[in-house]
Amino acid sequence: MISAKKLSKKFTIDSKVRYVLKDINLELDKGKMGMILGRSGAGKSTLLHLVAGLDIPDTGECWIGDDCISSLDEEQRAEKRLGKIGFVFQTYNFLASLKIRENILIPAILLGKEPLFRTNERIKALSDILGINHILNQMPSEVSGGELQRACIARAMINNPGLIVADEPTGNLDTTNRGIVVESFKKIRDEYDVTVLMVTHDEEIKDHSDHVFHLKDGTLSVIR
Amino acid sequence: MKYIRLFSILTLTNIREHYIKFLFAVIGMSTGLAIFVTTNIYKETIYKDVRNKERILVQSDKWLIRSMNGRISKNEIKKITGLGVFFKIAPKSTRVEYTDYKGSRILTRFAGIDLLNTDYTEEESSSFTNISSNDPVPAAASSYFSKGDIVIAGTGKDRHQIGIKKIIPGSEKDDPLIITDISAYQEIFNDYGWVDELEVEFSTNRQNVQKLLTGINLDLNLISQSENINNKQSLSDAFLVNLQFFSLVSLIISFLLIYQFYRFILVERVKDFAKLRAVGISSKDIKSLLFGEILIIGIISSAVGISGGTIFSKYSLDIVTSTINTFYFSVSSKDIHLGSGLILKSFTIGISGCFIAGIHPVSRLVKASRPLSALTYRNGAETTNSYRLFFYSGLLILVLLFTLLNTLTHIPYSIASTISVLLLTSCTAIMMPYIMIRIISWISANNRISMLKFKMATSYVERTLIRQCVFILSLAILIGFVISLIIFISSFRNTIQNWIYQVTPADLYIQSGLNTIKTPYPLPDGIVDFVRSQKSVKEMDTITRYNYEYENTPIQIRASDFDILRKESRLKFKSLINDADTTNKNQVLVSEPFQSKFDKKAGDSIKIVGDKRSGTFTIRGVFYDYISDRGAIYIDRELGKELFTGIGVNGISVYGLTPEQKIGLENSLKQNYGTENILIRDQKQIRENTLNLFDRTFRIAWLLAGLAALISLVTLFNSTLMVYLDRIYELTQLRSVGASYSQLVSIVWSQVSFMVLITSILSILMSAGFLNILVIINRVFFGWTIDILFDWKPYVLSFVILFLLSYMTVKVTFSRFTSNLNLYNLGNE
Repeated sequence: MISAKKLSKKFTIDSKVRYVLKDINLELDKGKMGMILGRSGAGKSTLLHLVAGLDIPDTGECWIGDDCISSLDEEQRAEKRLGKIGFVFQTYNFLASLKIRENILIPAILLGKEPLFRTNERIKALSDILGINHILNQMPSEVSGGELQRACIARAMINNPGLIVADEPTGNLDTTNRGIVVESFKKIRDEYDVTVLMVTHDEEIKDHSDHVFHLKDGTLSVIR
Repeated sequence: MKYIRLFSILTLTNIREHYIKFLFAVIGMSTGLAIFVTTNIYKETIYKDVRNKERILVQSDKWLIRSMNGRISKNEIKKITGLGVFFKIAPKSTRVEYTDYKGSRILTRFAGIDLLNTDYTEEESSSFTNISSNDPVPAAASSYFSKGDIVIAGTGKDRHQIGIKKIIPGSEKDDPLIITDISAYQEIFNDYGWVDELEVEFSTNRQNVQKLLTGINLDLNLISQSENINNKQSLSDAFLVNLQFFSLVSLIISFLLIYQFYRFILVERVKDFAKLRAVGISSKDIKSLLFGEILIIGIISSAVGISGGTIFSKYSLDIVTSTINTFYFSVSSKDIHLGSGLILKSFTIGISGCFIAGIHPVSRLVKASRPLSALTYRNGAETTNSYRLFFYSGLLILVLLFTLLNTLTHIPYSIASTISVLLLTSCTAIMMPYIMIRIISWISANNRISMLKFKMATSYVERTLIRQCVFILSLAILIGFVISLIIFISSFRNTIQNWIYQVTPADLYIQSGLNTIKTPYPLPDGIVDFVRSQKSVKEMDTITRYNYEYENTPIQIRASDFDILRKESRLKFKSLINDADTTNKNQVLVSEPFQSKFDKKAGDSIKIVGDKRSGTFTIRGVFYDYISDRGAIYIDRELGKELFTGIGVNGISVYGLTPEQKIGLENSLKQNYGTENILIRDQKQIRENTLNLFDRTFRIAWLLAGLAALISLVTLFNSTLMVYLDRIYELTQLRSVGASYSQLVSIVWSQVSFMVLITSILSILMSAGFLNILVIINRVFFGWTIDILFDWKPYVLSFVILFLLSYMTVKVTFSRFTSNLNLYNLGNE
């Protein structure tokens, strides 16, 4: 599903160049869960952004299925994020003025490809799997972090993407909720045969994934 | 020291990072100030100072020659002197310039006059003999200066020392005024080619003099001193009120814009200040910092506004010069100056306005930035309370009904109905945006999924309720003002057009070539009999005009054949006593301006004192008269002969001519009397000239409408940008989940279009309020009735433009600021 070859990315801050990623190669098959570990500031989020099409690499290619996402322009990448890639943010990024159900629906509304009743059915199914039925009519400010993160997963899944990317999804959660969220990812992977790529600095959850990678000093090594 | 450090770390950094927002705050305030400065420059420089100029050595028995283009050239003076009819010609020029006096730069008025030929006493004039280029420039000044003072003046590199030789009365006390000989004036200011006016005395009659001047240049006019001063006084007062009204509107808009920006700029920094509070900064320090920022905005806005207004007033003067010079007095851009008083006033208004506008946002920010509440701060939507919504809606309806009833029970455009309409407009203006936004949020609170797109578009509206209300109100005021001006000018033109079409039923009009509105001249002797003798002439009438003073106010008495007047329906009546004896030639008719000035109506009596006899007469009717705002009395020709010594006939109207007969008569008249002595116009030409005159007069009004439209654009752009910046984080979030560029544009555009829709509705009401004010102002000063015709076209056109421009603004904002949708900023709310 994911095939990244020789990805490199640098940032220039106050005329100083910092090479964050150097010739990264990453392969992840469809329906598998991959986890990228590394310290804070290792470049994990940067790598995830490249994979999800939120940014483009300086060199290299990144393929998601049959699409070379790194060669697309901004509008095309946005289109891919809408239909083929679901993103789960560490800070949730829910619109504060809309209810949970409405936030989950936003990508479907934006894509506009199927009737709303079908989308509603999918919300019900996802809510059942993720255990968030009871919060659908609440505002984001009224629910806990763990529930919100599961709602994020539901939003990422609403358009039936082939790939879910998650940036530190457990970063703001306690141990209990951490476990629940990771289990949620596994359920989604199993139920929908979706590929999941997650970045985290939390070593304790690595056992839950099929593949583990380690990012250090801009280079990626395969652990499992 | 602490504040300086905090200021440089926090305030300057903040201004640097958000310079776009601060720039728009400055633009908002400075635009209104620029308009204020422009109108006040016109008010203080043109109207006030030029009136003051008349006090420089005015001698009431002298006449003035002025040119409609503002200045009289050396060549023209040579020709005027060569006419041989003047036994005294004294050139005069005036200006205002900075001079150096006792170490300071002061604004000084200069008058260059012909000191050698001006009538001073022997003692006074002896000071001015032996003037030569080697002498220090002779000068006499008002009591501002002292004898022996040295003043340095001049333009460009050449500066001259002027020694004050004598103090003579010429101006008010404490008014810096220097009077020099005209040749010295020209030398000081390197201004040899022109003078402003000539004071003259002549031996022949005025008619001849004017004829001779017209032969040199059509722009040259002979004016008496008293006419000049009275004319300026009344007309300048009228314009002053209109200008002041407009500058007040523009200032109100500026304050609204600046308030809107402060709400925006400060509210989004709540968390920043909360973090500062958490580490120990006091609320007093926060207020000091914020008011420091506001002071910077105030100072910069004021400076930009004053500069912009000064520049604009100089360049826009050309647009109004022809109007002013035609009717009022000679003025050119050199008369424009920015007084220190106006600078001080503008800075005071600008800075204090910014402070006042900032009080509420600053106090809100300080309140909201308490650490605990701010750490959990969420820009959450307020839930709409249905009961409150119904209560406010009900209150609005009651207010509307009350003021509507009140308006309908009074005469339209009366003072009472105007006050009522203004109350109606103000209440609705304040409440309507609030109610409609609440309605929108109540609709969007609906849980139906089909409403989600509507909700996404409008969710921010209620969250920034006050700002949106300010956006709507300020734009509605401006659009309403522009529409009201357009309708007012069009209606006035229509009124004039209808009137002139009715009151010009004759086929041919003949008058003296020297005739003016203020000064009637008689036609050549024998012309009346000549016209009557022509075979083609079946019916004709003559008009004689007498300049008269009624209750010490100059008016005009017009004498004509009442039978023909009635037969040809040559007057359009406002009121008429129908049961009056129509054969009674001892009744009079008065014009509408006369009625307004002297509070007379049909049925009242007035006394006319003629040089042959006097009498008291009943007013039979009031007629509309747009020829001039002076009052006029129409009397029968026979009565005129009884009251006044005959001065001849000023005009002839000929009726019932075929086109060929018209041409034939015209040719005969030209052959016998020449084209210089008489002016022949047909009906079409009279009507066209009248409307052309109107269009020229109202150029200034179109300028004001253009300015108001410009401010509307600035307001629209500012407010649309703020909508975008308000929602930038939300837009970034949507972008991160895959929203396309056009989807984001449509979300912002939807919100903006809702606001524009509410603005459009409100502007209809605002335009009604402004129209009332315009009608009342002009009725009070000119005494004219204007039939207001509501035309849907300005409304539709302005709404279409508004929607199009707001859409384009959203597109431009997105294309210009799209890099701000930085996905790396997600998480840094």
